[in-house]
Amino acid sequence: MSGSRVALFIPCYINSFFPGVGMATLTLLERFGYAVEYPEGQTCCGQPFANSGAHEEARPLAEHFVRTFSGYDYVVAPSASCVATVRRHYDPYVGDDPAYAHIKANTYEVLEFLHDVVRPESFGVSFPHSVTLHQSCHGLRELELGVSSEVMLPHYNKVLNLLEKVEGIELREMERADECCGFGGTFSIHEPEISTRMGIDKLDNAEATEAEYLAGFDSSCLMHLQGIARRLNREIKCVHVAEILAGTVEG
Amino acid sequence: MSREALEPWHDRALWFVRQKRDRAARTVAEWEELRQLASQIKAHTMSRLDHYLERFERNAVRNGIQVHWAADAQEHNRIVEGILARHNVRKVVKSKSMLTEECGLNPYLQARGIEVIDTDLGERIVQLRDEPPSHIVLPAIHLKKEEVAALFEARLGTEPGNADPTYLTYVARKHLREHFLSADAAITGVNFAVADEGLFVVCTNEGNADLGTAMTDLHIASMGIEKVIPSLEHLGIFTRLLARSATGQPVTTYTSHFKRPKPGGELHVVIVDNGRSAILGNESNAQALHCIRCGACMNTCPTYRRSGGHSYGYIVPGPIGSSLGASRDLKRSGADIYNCTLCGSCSNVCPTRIDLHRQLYAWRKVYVERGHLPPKKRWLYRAGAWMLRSPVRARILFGTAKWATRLLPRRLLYHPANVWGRTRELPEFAPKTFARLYKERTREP
Amino acid sequence: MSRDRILQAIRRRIAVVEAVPLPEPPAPHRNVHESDIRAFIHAVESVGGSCIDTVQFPTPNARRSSLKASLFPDKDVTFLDAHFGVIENGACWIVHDTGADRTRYTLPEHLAILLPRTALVPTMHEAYARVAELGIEGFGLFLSGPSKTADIEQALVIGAQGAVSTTVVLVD
Repeated sequence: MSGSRVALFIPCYINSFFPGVGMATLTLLERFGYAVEYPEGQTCCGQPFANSGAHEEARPLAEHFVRTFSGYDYVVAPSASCVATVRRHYDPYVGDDPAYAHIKANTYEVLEFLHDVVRPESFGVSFPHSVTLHQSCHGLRELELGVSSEVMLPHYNKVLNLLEKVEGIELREMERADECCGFGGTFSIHEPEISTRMGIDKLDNAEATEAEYLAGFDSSCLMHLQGIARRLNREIKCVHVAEILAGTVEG
Repeated sequence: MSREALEPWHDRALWFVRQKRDRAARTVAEWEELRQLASQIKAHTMSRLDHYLERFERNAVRNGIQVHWAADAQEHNRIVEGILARHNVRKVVKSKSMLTEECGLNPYLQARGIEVIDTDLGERIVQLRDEPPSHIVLPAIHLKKEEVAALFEARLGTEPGNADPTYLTYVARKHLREHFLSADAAITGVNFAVADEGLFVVCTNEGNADLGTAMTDLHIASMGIEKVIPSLEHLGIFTRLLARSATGQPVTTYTSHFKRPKPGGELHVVIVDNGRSAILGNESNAQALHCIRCGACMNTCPTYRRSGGHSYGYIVPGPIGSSLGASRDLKRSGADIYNCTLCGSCSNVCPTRIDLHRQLYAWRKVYVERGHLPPKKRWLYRAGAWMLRSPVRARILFGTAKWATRLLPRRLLYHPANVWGRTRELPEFAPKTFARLYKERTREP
Repeated sequence: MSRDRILQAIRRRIAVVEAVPLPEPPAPHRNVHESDIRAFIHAVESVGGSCIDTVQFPTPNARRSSLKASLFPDKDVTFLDAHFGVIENGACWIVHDTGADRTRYTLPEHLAILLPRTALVPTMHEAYARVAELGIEGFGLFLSGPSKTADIEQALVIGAQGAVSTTVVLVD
């Protein structure tokens, strides 16, 4: 509820490359009455190391995360993959730490937080543009932000639900919306050709909708897609959903 | 060495199969329940595997089936060859069995003067090309019809330039029938071995297993220890899941149940371990034994579709192959367990709910612990983590990188050593970090 | 002996595994209804087979020779009998007599499967319950449509190695 103390977790790459996404997150939380703090001592959550099997390296990062983010009602981050790491992969490192239990249960990806906890009627923003949404894997499948296309259960999608509350927005679904974009963290470096091929295919599918914007809820995916788009001189504009909801998309 | 991306048509062909699977699965309202049941049946069976194997053997022997046990691939091959030799077999027709591929049965028999004809069309194609299958259900998915036409023109005398799949299939039909007619024995795999009945089931779309076993009087079936299921009723669940998951059909064309030898014939089953028992009880990958070889994980895997089965180090490719291969030879499967973005789609399509992507994540931990990471990578991870562990060092790291991108000439910045930069522009450093913006913001009155 | 080594290895490994109970058999949701002949015909056709319902014919024709003459005047058709059919996938559980030549299920180009119209079950769950009741002598076959393959560039080819056509003939 508003008034709760929220700690903002801004992953390292968002801090450096996409600070606007962090600001949009902050804007949204404050708009809905949360007391937001940004613990300065925060560092990488350890995801690239954990996913690569380098658990010796991930462990101190997990411990640091728990120390940094203890004592808040919620931890909110604009990064589904980082949140998935904190909730699903930290047990081997900090499972015994009593402080972790609360963090595990109360760390949210920002859109998840808006949908599940804040539940706003509207965002008070308009975005009269056509948008196609890339369904990032960790958010979709690990955090269950939606039901992926291969699962035979009643369909829901929290991110689309939120976007539908934006005035004037036109949502267009791309082919293979929930196929992986090819970033996969260190995968992008281990298998650069496969990674790039996947990214090009995702861009092709997005462009086929002729939407003005390619939206996503994981900036790592967008960083990879944007990198390919720029190299190939493709004009598609990538944007994080939080920026749309906060009304801070430029241009 | 990273792998090359195949032509886009390979990805499209396999995505098409994934879509067929989706359509078929959607017609079964209780699809997700069936997957859960299948998972539980397999888990139960594995927890009492010795009991069910003994039960299967007892009932099979009572039915007149001769049951053999092979601890490893070599023993399997020796047993099969021994049976064939006793019957003076010169030519064997074989239907699809990944187990026999795993054991290297074909070259073993061929070296001992026994001709082996793989009778599944896709397998026959790759056999004629002297290469392994690239998919466990669609062995020749990596080939265009023109390549098959060229192969058949050279080896089966088809019309030059005629690449019509129906024509080519009909020529293969005639060619294979000649082999069926002149074969002395048939080897098949086993999809399911029913403990209560002492019978086993072979599923095909072409009917090649039935043709071979009907036309010869000696049938040898090779099965992994994990193929046993408790009772006939469980076939109801697995047969509803298998073909839909594999190709999007409601069931395979032929679901054949072998219970007794033909009058005057012999029926043998070779039960094979070859490393499977070692997987039992490993929390991190025991579920790999639940695999019913449908191939759905391959069809949905975005990296498999673009890299192809031949790029994998183990005879079974894709997500399940990476895990099984890792259990055999972790070092060799290293590249495969990292050929994955952990997207999780595989685990969602697996009919027996194997936690595939979690297995690959777990294998990576073992891979690093066993010291298989090249020293350079190991050092990079250590250094990277050390820098990122401290807010001050992380600021220095990112700060330095920011100025490097500003100051270095493009030629240096995008040196081939910059793997990211080979195909992508580097992300742009924002003028101010979030941390800086936040500080400035909170300073404002 | 390998048998003992294997079983011992298995026992050693599963000693640490917790017992997992066998699940209860499922209670299938019925989007498939018993005796839904239309759904069965649709399923047969969707797997590449044909279906003829002799109830549509003015005179009941249960004799093969007359059936052959009236339904397949020009084709060399081999007749098989089915105990029952499965609505969800158009499969027929073929009557097999011990010692019968099994090549009849795959060698002939054209198959006609005589199936009593009332012998339909909704799904493979009910199918295997029927199989258990009937018992399997030495061999049993579910046949669903003609032989097929898509091994060459995913192009569907009917009549890969077995029957090129299968016709299910629903009889009284």
